[in-house]
Amino acid sequence: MIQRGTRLHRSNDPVPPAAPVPLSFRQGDVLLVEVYEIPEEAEPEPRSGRIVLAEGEATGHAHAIHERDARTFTYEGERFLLTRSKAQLIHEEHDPIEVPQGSWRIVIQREYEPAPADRPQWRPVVD
Amino acid sequence: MDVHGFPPMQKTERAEAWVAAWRAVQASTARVDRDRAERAMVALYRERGLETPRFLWVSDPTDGLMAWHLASRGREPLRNPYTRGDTGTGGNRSLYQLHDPFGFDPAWVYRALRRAQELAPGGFRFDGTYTANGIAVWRWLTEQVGSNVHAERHAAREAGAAELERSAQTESLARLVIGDRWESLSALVGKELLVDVAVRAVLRSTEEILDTLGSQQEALRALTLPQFDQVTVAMGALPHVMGAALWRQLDERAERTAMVERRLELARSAGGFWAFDGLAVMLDRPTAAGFDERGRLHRDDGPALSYPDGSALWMNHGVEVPESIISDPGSITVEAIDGESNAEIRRVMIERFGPERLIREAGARLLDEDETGRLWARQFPSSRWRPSEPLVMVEVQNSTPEPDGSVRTYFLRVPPSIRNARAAVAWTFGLDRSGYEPVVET
Repeated sequence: MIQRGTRLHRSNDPVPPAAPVPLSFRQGDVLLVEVYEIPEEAEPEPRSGRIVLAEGEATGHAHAIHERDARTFTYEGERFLLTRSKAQLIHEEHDPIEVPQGSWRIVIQREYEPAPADRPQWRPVVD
Repeated sequence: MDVHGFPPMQKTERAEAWVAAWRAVQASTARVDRDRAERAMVALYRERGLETPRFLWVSDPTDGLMAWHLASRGREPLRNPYTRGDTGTGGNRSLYQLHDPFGFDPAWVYRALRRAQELAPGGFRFDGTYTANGIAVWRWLTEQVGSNVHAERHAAREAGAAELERSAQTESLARLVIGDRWESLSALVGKELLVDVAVRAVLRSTEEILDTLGSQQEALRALTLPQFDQVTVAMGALPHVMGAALWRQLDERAERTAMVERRLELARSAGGFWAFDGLAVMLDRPTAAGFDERGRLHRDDGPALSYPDGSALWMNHGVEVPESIISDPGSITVEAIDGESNAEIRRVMIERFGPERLIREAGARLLDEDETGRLWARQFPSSRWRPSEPLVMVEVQNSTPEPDGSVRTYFLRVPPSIRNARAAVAWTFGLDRSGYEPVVET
């Protein structure tokens, strides 16, 4: 039910309504953000064994997916995950997450790093 | 044997007992029963259809490297029959035993572990910590021990050169190296120069044989520490915890159970090995091995793993850290914490330094706090060359607590323009404040 005073969107409104927040799952320093689709030109990554989304340097731990029908892709420096059925995202020190079927952008947490203007002002979180 | 496995309750108890037994194997520093270990090794050679090898025992990785260099002349190392080419350095290498000369058939392992996961008692996992321990030990061996040995050997060679130059036998050695032309050449350039040339030649060939860092790493990569092999522990758990029903093909059941048992026996009896055709170089157990309650390599007041040659792995709850963080926590400073680029090592430093002390001593000011974390800012004095940029960090916690109920806390640096904790956490994932709303977080 629409409350009184709620502003309804009309097609001639100058400002469109905010886009819905995409579905996302987070396990430690890895975030999976749902995307509408994986770009067609994305390059499939070769797969042998489990899929490793991120690996810890100091710990040897990994955020990984074992499901055989899952695939990863790269496009313009970003990685994408395609889950054709439910998949478990597992890590040695975090509870597992059940990732529904879908297309996901893989985001690795980053940290700010002051740098000259012509270089990126951040670097991935290394652990 | 019960075709449907054991009742769930009994399975949990068996799983716990299995984990405890395996942890005891990993933590053992008892003197190796060399006869028992050799019998275990012979059984594995036989399984591959190979002759009984000769055995050479060493007590630490340094001696092991020397033995490997000598043994690998004219002998082929045994390789995993299921893999080809480079086995890489990532986690999958350990998970699938790619490097292991006595590795199991990976397709079989994959099927068995998947099935075990389905049947495992709630929340119980066979991999995880064991994989991580194996990877940590392997990385340490290949990256640290190799370069330590290199530095040590370099120092030994310098000392050796000085000794050789002083030695009374040097001239006869030089005569031997130069041979027939000794007399004519010494008349031409003088004896001192010839001795010098000969000494250098001898040292150079010693270096070639023993000293290239590349081959140290090759040697350490070929080392297998069977007690840190997670596939063995997981495969061993199947018959011991789940019941032999997991071996689907009835006719192969006895043979496969025996294969796993042979690997377990080696893990229980030896500290490590290099396997060649006809020769096995065997390594004793470490002199110290420490673990936390979750089975991660850990020690608060010393190295988590060490050998008689002084090779030592320093770890805090499964995180490899520089030695001084554990041996001399008083040396940790605010500047050192700021300068550490690895977020996990930085976290350990802050834990040992004290988070409250860090905030107090660094003069941090709380900017914002919400359910995602706390945002802190520190102002540095401006330098002559540029206005100072405040250091803004967001303090975040792991959603999954440690077994003792504590929660790991991390400080991540964010751009100084951020004024809000949620916006800071969202920024670390490249999102804006409103786009960051994970439905599940662990």
